[in-house]
Amino acid sequence: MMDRRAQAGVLLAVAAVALRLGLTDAALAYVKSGLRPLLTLAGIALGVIGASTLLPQLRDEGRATRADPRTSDGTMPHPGAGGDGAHEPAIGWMLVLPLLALLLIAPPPLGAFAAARQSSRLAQPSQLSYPPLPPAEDGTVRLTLAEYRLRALYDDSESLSGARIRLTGFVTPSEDGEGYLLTRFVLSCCAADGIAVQVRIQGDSVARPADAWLEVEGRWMPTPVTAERARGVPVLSAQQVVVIPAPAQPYEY
Amino acid sequence: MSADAASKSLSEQPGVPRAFPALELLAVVLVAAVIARPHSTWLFDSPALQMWSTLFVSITVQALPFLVLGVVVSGAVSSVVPAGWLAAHLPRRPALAVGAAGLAGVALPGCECGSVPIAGRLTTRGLSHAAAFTFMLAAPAINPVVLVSTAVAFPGRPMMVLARFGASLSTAIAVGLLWERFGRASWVDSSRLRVSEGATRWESFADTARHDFLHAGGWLVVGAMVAATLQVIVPQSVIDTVTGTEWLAILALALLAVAIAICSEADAFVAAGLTQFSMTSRLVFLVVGPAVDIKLIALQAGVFGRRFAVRFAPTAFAVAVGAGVLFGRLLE
Repeated sequence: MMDRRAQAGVLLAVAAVALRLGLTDAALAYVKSGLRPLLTLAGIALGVIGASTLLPQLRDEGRATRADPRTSDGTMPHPGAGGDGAHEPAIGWMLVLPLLALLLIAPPPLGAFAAARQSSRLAQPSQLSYPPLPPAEDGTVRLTLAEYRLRALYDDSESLSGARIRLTGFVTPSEDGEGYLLTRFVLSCCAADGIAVQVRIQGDSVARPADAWLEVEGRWMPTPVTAERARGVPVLSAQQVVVIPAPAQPYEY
Repeated sequence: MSADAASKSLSEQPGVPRAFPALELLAVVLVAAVIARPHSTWLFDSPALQMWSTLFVSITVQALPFLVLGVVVSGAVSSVVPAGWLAAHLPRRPALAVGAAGLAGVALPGCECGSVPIAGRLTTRGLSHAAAFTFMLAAPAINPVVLVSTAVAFPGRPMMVLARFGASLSTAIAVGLLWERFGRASWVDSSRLRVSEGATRWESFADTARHDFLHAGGWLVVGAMVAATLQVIVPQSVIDTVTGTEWLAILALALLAVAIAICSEADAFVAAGLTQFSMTSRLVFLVVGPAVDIKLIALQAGVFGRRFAVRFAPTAFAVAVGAGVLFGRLLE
């Protein structure tokens, strides 16, 4: 059972975590950045409701020894110590579990383990020609893995040919041992619906550990019509590979 | 953390004997978790456990703002709408009330998590159970946000949006009418929907919102744990093998929608990615998901009771699959 103070405590704890997720980058491991303002608002709403539950409790307890006219009329929703009408079943305690998971495990963004477990279920586009590449900065064009994949596999106008491309992602070891797969999860809503987009990197002689974040520059290699193309994994021939720290925004949207 | 600060100020209060110092215990556990974290990483470095916890937390965090919106609306309903008002102002004929409730679902942009407490609260304001359940099924499935995201996920296939709208609205109305005909009020545990008449509007708002949040939120967490577990333990290869046979594919995607419990605002993007499956089976996925999934069953059990949930979920599932197959004919 939960008494009124415990209910208020759970609400305030969830509110604090919602505010922290809403106001920092910590939320980006789980949801899209667009949810952050909503999380902030949710935190404020829960905080107000929690505080308005707790404060009258504290006041009533402060006067617990005196006769309190406000609790004798039977209509007040804070019955003070010993009141039993306001107990909630224990299910509300479950809300502490995600808080503990965040505090103790601090779940990392989805990585190589999750990517390896998922067989490719990426959509084939209906669009078959693409606009010209965005302008190059310092001779390289920065693309998301999702956009590189579409242009590399399905672009009839071969807009990638000749361009020096820069991709950012983490390493998923390749099952056949040839090169590795640069990977990024694409979210449509939250991490639970993330879909791994992968690009096979060839020509990097260094052994890269799983989950290492890399910035890879290289050139498009037309993918032969093989099982790999059917699985939707294009190839990039690497010219320069730089190890980078994990970005604040681990997912593509 | 605010719970911590709260317990500090509490300890300065004159001691009042209590059976169980739950709030203090909560504060101690949370503070202990913060302190223990640097020393406990070795406990949690299994990649499967980390993936599970990421999915669990992300489902919970994604649903949280919509759940809060739901309980705020629910609290507002309870503090502003007088008891019995809805009964007096809605069409008297049950079938008309159900139809009106279904169409009213278009107006609430939110995920399914918010609509369950709202539907529960509306029943305390005089809405019939049948109409409330129709509203609960319709609101998350056919609101503008969901329809737009479906259109975005299936570019060049406007029929998909139309089929989804039709199938989901039919499901909601059919389930409402079935309840009207066969349902029993005794299946709904209305004690869970305690009507609180606070002294002021604000008190009855805050009381209702807090009550609904703890109930629905607690069950949401249970549902998120089950959904995360299924995602980690059911290998994708199992899903890939069933795509060959149409009825098996339909059943598989219907069950997948129940199991993975993603938001109705996101499921169209997942469906778009299930390219190995037929359009009909993907439509079934979109119709079943907002009506029946693991976290919704848990939420409904929390708001309406277990006796309700074990009857409602299979009914809604069967009707949703049927409606999806029927409207799928528009797509093939």
